[in-house]
Amino acid sequence: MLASIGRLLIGIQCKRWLGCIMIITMSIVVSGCWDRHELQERHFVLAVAIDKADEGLGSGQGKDVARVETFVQPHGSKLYRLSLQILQLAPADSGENTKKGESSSYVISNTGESLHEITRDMLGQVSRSLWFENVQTIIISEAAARQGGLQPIIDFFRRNAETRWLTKILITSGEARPLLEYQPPTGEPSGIFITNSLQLYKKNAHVPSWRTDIGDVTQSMDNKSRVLMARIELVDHVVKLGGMALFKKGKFVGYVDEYALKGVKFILGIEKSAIITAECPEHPGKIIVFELFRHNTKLKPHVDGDAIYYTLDIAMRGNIGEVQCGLMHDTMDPQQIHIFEQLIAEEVKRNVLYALHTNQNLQVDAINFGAKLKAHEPLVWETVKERWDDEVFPRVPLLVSVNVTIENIGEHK
Amino acid sequence: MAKQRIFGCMILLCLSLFLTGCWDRRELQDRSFVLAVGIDTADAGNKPGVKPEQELEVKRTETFVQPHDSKRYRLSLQLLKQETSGNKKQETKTYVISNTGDSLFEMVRDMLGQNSKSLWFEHVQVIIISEAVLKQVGLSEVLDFFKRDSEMRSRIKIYVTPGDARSLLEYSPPSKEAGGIYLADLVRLHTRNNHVIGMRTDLGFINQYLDNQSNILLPQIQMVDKVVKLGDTAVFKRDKFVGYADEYAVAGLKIMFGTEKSALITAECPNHPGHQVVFELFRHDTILTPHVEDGNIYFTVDITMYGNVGELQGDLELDNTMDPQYIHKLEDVFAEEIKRNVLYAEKIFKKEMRVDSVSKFAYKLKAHEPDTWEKVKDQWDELYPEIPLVISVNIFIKNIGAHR
Repeated sequence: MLASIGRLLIGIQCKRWLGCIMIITMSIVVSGCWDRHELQERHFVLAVAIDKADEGLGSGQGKDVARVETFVQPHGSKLYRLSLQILQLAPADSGENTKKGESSSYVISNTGESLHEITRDMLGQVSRSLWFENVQTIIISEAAARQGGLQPIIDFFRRNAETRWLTKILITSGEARPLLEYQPPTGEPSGIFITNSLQLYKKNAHVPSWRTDIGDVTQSMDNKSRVLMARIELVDHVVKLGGMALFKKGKFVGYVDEYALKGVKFILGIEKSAIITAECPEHPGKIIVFELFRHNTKLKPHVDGDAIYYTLDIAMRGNIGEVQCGLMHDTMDPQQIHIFEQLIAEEVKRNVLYALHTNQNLQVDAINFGAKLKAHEPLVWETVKERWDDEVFPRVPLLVSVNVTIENIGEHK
Repeated sequence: MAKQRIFGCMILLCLSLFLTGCWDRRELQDRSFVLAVGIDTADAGNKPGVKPEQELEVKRTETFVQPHDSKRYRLSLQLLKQETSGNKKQETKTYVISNTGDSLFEMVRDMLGQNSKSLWFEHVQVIIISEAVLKQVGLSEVLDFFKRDSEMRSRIKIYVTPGDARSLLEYSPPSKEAGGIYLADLVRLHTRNNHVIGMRTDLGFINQYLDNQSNILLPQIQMVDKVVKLGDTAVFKRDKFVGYADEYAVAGLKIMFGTEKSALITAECPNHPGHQVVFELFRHDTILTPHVEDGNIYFTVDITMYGNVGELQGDLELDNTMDPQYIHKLEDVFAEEIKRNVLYAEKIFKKEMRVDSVSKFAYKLKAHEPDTWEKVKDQWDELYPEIPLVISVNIFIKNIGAHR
């Protein structure tokens, strides 16, 4: 009897201990986020602009500002100006500051040589820590890219753990900072505006869609291959994307215009939709437009003895988008449609060759001919890879055959 | 049991196929609504407020490289601003982007590089074409894109402007509506405003006219220093721009064709020259008929009108509208005025422009006298200006106003 009472007491004691231990253990598990970052306690950086140190001064700011916006550094010189567009989380909705169209972001800027050091010095200009995970776009000015090549600019973003790989990277021939200060009419901050605009590449063949974000740039640099960047321009409140810039071995080589970019997309077969225009042979100055819906593109390298050549077979299907000859052509006539098809095919061929020659003149293989050769003819590639960019690629011929089928002639006709 | 369970799972899986939601949805806030389209020549329609030294650079930015080397058009699109939080006191509801090139379609696609959302054309309200463009090319060339694209609706209004089309897109109306909607609504009042040609001037009808190779009339819109006005009409022979006809001629034409719903007819008071009397048309019966006699073609138009006295500016002591004699006198005066109006329209369209407006006379002849039409259809353009029109007008004043 006593023994059983004693056992019970011990049991209760044990349970009590067990309970205590469990509570302590559980409290460790449910202790909450010790390393939490509150949303409102950090500054989201939406866009980054990199200029030369003496450029990209804010509008209406004098030299004095430039002296404040920097720090003393022991070595090197002030090479770059880094500007950050920061999201204004709680726009004050009273007072004079919120005039109509006031954008919900602001720009801070600093100069130095190491981008990482600049970002840390910038903490002296903001009240909360800077947060780079949501950077949408990085804009580099041509002058900055020419100054020291791509490597010193990109390296910080490659190493920083907060950078995401899908951040878009662009180049501008003017200053980069005004693009951050630009207020798009759509009301969003320009960083988001620009990246959204880039995402319309499916319909706009004048914008590069591929290999232009940080991840791809990193890969390309590691592979020692060319780097592509979308081009953006800002003139007097007009922002426009179109064309791209080419880099070779980290050096800025040149721009490729919209027409050549479209041709490059045709060669790689990565266009989703495209507008192809040709001049009507019977009515000079009048335009016939083909809207591409579907295509089948095959690029193949061939080796014939010492000679390397490529063949490109393109089959396109689509609509007639516009015929500016007015009522002079009957688009219901299959004969006429056939003439148009040949006309468009001719134009695609011209466009492709224009793109090829642009690339060959710049001696940059942006159209992946080297990679194709490496995949299909690895042995030949081994023999030519040393002199590919300078000797072989600029002279490599391309045989183009284009087949255009017009399936439809538009809604009303 | 196991079988039932498997069966149940299968049903659940099958059902879930139907519950997948919209794979091809497009959110409202993810597209930019185009409200108005302006077409200028490439060297006109520059952005307002740009410094002259930057003009060239802006132009160079707003375009693209194209294989054939001419930029003929400037296409401007008015886009709806979607309200973001806070900015309630926004001055304008819209903004304008612009591009130059040859093909309108290519410009539209290139403009995607100027906007963050894809462009959506299903809600275009109005297309404004500048006169300078129409002097260079025919209407069908400019409208071809709108004809073939599947996003365009047939009810889009089309205007012609003597100035820059772009400045009209930049205009923000005092009523605070979005500009494109305001502009499109102007013409909808054509039933009460006899100075505007409004009937059958939208994209659907214009396409029909172009396909039938008939002549076309389009309303003219003008903007001078923040004043916008619709009036007059642009006259097209087939798709070639011929010129403008004034409001009085438009009114005459509408009366002749019987397309007016309501109209005001003003005349001088028969007793007191210098004072105006106004007739307000309520109902009318207009018949335009072709006649052929011994190979001679002529048309008759019989107009019967019923309406009110709308305004009388004379001396009411002397001009007693309760007096049937006086009313009868007024009816004669108005009939005379209508005849003059119709003849004025005839003079402008038939004698000066030599255009069978909207090919009305040709259609009438074709319908009523198909044999004669077959004979003359090839020389119709030369023949038409010589064809006489006999007018007879009958007016009934039913009422003299609410208070008199």
